[in-house]
Amino acid sequence: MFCPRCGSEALPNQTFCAKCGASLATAENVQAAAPAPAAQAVPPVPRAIALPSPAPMRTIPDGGLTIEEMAAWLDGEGYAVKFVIGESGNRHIETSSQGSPINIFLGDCKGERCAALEFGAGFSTHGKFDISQINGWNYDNRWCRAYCDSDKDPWLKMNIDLWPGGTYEALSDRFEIWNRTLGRFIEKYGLR
Amino acid sequence: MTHPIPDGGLTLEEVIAWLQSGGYAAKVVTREDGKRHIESWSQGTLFNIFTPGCQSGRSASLELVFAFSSKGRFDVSRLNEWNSDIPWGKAYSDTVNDPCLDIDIALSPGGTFESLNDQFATWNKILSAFIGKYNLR
Repeated sequence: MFCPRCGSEALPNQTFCAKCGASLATAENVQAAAPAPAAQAVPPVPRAIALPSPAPMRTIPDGGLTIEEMAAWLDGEGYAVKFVIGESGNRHIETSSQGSPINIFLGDCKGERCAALEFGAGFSTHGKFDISQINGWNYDNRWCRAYCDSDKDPWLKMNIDLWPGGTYEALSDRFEIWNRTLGRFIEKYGLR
Repeated sequence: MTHPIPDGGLTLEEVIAWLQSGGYAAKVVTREDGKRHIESWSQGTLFNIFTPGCQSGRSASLELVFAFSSKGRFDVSRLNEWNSDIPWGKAYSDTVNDPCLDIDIALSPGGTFESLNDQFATWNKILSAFIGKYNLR
């Protein structure tokens, strides 16, 4: 049976949960509260709920975007773009925002189309950055993760899902979130 | 064909219905300050779903959070490696040095249930990997 508070598995004759201490209710209650891991699937689109219709959206093609399409989108948004070939021989995009260079990597690719993006910005501080500040950033801020690399230089990154179900409206919104968060990161730690 | 999420995002009740339709147990929890969030379970692990910035009952994003009570025994310096190596979500320690994993999922503008499902599947994967890597059962 399962604890109705924390979902931990418990023995049939247990009266208290060993994990959280909750009193174990009747068998019917705990059975009803327990998730069934084997039966769990990604939730389908709910059919029984009447949802208000949103404004029309432009869907991203099946499979995601090609690197050329991503570059064209950035260009259309007013960002200078260049392609860079990394050590692996794969291309990524360089652009800039908030006065800082940004790398954009496309991932989860099948053929030319990629289902995910990663925005990243790293800052060379010659090892002077106080790594203990990073946890506070990750605790207080949403959307982007921060870490220090092997040179103790700070990085900020954000991953974005393009497909399935991606839209250009969502992409614009997430890019704006990235830009705002990057600006705050730079300002907070004096990284200009 | 995609199934769009309404403008403004989802209500708490719609999130519950979406989770339950996929076989996930989910319930609304009301905190002392009157604010509500959702408790759900994935692979037997409890996590919370917050709906920040609700307007007219709809939230444009979800924040999924897992926290493990380690009674201060967890070495939080290990989390930098997680954030460096693992895309999606972020790890940190809370005010009592317990390890936490969270992910933000945008619902609006431009959200679809297909994208929500895909990001939720990502959450399930990183949650499982986080628990496994740091032995947080």
